[in-house]
Amino acid sequence: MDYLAKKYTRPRKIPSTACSGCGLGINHKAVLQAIYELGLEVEDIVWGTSIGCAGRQTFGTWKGDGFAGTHGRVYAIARGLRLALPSEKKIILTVGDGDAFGIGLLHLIHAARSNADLTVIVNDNLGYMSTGGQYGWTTPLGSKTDSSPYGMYEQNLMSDDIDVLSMLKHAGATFIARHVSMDGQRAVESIKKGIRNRGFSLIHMVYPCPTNFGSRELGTRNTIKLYEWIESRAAPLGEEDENTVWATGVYHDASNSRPEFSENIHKNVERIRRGAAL
Amino acid sequence: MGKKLAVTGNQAVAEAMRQINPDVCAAYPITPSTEVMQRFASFVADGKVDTELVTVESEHSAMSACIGAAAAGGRVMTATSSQGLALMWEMLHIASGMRFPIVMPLVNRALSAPINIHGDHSDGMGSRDCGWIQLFSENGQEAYDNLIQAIRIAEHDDVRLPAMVCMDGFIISHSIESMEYLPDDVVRNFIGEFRPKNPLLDIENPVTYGPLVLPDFFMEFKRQQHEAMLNVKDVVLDVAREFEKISGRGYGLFEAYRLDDAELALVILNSAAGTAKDVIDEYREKGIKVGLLKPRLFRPFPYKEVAEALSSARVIGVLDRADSLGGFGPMYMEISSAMTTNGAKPLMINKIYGLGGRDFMPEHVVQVIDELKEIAETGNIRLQKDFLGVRE
Repeated sequence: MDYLAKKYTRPRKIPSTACSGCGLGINHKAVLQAIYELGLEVEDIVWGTSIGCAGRQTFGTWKGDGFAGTHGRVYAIARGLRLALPSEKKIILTVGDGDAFGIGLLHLIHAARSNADLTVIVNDNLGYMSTGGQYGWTTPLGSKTDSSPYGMYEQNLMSDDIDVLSMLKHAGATFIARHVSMDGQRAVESIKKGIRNRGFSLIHMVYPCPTNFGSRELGTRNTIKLYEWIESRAAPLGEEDENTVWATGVYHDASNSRPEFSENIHKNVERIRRGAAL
Repeated sequence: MGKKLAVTGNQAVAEAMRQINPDVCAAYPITPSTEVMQRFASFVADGKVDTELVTVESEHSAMSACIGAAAAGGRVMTATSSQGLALMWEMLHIASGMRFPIVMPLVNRALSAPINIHGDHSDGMGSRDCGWIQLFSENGQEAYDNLIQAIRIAEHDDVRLPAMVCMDGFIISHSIESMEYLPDDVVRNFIGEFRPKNPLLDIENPVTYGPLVLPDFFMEFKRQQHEAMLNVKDVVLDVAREFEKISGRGYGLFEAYRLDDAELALVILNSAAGTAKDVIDEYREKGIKVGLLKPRLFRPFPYKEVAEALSSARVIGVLDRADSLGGFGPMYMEISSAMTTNGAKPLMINKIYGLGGRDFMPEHVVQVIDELKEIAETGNIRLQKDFLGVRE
């Protein structure tokens, strides 16, 4: 077994029940690698998961404290947790694109607005793959999915100059990055920066789903073909060309520039209490 | 007669939706009901229906979109399960309070936490008081038939209330059974044209839906909804009689299986009732007078008729695939109300079974019937409420 998996995860959850060729494990590994390189231990982190492929495959995997939120609510739960936990405890959330950018977007935006110290890893398999492969809020325009047999034509949060990451930036997020599973150490470095930021961090990580996305859009479940398909549409920020769907790297780094949600509340509650006492 | 096919419960429900051809459908995926809208979406994509399909960002939005479309004057449907229904809960009350005859298949699944994707009735029972008509279905055929009938029931002038048609997640939704579809034109004639009432698109006659109503009139609104609910029973029976003419399949408020002279009775909803029927047959062969009542219409609940059907029973075992934790199971409470308010005082026990998709096996039925027998002989009830097939 992988040494990081042994150190940080429950052995019976590895390997996960993900489909053959699924890229989620690569993303998961990148998160563990970042945790390792930051010298963090099991007891330093509380891990939250959501619903769908990303939630299901990472649920109950972390050796330490963890929780499973309902679809889209994990950010609201995590903010409550943030208020109650000591500030040195890190909260990492591994969620899916439908969860973060669809059903939970309102909560996500408020977590960003309040700059709650959370690191959200949005594992994006380009739609609702857990329920059979319906298009979602990051499905590339024109993609054939179960619910878009003629190609996805709806405006979503990754089309027509709309980018969910820019929405989150303007909502107040203090660290935002985008990667694809194949980014390796570059993704690890972004996750590390996200965890280090004492505020709201989000790393959007696209990963391949051969079973549902690949089989419909590419007409094959061949993992290599899908990896190539994603890789050929990804390029580091500044090196994009007309084929680039996912420009990868750090989108926004204002780490530690705004008051953190729980610190701000604690500080102000303390101030009001002192005032009342006087 | 119609075509005989081998299909899953979800397929059957999607086929009924194709034949109903609603004006607007909202879709948001959730296991195990996803396949209903998935198949329906392919009918839309293939131009086989005239429906406007809207894919939304949550079930709350799905029901909201349905309410909007119904207010505009459309025949509207969606489908969901479990957490999806839980998230819709707020809007379920809006749909019934505004008297929109929205029809929704509910593929029953357990509610979190812990998360579970398998079948039990906690979702449907959790929305018992939302003002929706609730029809339960033992198998795919019943789900198909109930869905078509639900359109007529919900849209009836004496009713005008939303309706959900329940079937067991996975056990029925994903199992292939042999069943019969009606021809398209027969279904179309049966359900008829949709006649909107007070639609927002009737710009000559402006109306307001859902304004603030304070203590001076709120109770009158609720009383009216209750009165409409009381009309449902007769409408269900009328619609069933007509449906029998086109299908040859008879429906009532419930199914009474070998119940006429039964001294021991079971009450079970949905697919588990099918399992119980086989065991009842075995006991009947041994001369034991046991029967089954399988409710079909759960909201409104036909108390008087149920009490009459169970009148010969000295001991009743009510099985619930949902629990009101700290209380009795929801079906037990209804049966208990039905019996006592109609003057009967049978001995009754409540068994909670099959939560989160736990298998319900013939031996569980045997266990319950044997216990009913023992209670009939001794008059002693050891435990009023208990769990079947659970680790202690």
